[in-house]
Amino acid sequence: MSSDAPLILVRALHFWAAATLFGGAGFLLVLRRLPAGTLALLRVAAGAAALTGVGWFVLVFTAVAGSGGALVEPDAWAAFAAAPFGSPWLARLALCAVAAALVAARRPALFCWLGAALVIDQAWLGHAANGPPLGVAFYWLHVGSGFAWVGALVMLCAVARAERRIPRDGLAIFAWLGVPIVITLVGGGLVEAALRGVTPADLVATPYGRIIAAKILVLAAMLGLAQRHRARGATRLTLRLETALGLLVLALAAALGITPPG
Amino acid sequence: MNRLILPAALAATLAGTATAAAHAQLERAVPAVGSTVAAPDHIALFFSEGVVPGFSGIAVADAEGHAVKTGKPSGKGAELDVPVSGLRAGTYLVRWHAVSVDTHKTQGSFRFTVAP
Repeated sequence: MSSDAPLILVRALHFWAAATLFGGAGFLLVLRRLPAGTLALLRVAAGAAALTGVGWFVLVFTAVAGSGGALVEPDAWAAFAAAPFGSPWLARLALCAVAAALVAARRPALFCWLGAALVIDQAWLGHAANGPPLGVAFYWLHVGSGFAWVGALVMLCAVARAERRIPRDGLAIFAWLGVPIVITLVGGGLVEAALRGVTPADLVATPYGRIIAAKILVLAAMLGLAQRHRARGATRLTLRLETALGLLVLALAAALGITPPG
Repeated sequence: MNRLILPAALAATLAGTATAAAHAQLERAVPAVGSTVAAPDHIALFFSEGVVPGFSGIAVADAEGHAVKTGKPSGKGAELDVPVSGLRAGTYLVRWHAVSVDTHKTQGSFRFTVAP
């Protein structure tokens, strides 16, 4: 087991929770109803976001400081707070506190705003922090559209479960929001590519590139299923499959974010 | 339109993952890697991206493995500067570790020699 496995796992769980908050709550806001179990799902996602966010912080803090004991050392906290990533991480902890408080909330809009805040803050917690401000903006677009897509899929599954059928109005949301979301994904990604650059050779030559290649393949399968849903309608099975693939993409992103390129 | 979505989305995925810049790698050092120099009073490391001095540093040892006293790391941007003292003639091993501004850790080592 890789020593990075706990970090990858906690990041993946956090991404899933944040995507559910942002995309799932956003989906419910557009759907304009709260089927049974959907509010509970948002509350669970908020609790999970809080716990995994703190877990992610602890792993990062102990990694950069060199030991778990640093968590009780004021000097280590001072150095962390003074680092470029200090303020975004402290903001993340504040958002985790908000997420914990929201486990009793009733309004989907609150969960959606929390998800949006997590997306915005996340840009400064990883690789994007090293790039120009323009890259941060397009990181928001790219990650935001990805979280919206996957989170909405998770919630559509929950709605289908609650209503014992796949709601037509739910699918209709994907029909008219799917293309803008993909275009945003594309636009954000292309600008990121222009700013950073990854060669096609990387896709097979390095661990980093191979994770990207896996991500591409999974996304291609997702788009194939999405196209099938548009053309021939969705079944519970294909919907669940597309959702599982979306969660897998986020897990791959969780691994990619801590993998050294090259 | 639909024909455009797949390749465009694939490009976006590739691009989105491309936001991962390389972790902080040592690009050069003073004294230079493998060089023979007069006894330095500090060691400067230059990385491929910004590093955090508070969580970065070096350990210096002589050929017998005895640790050399080093000062508090400082620096700005991609440079890390560490005072050293008492270097005599001989070969030294510098083990460095760095935390980049995106929180990633890297480490490595190099040697240099102090001329008699």
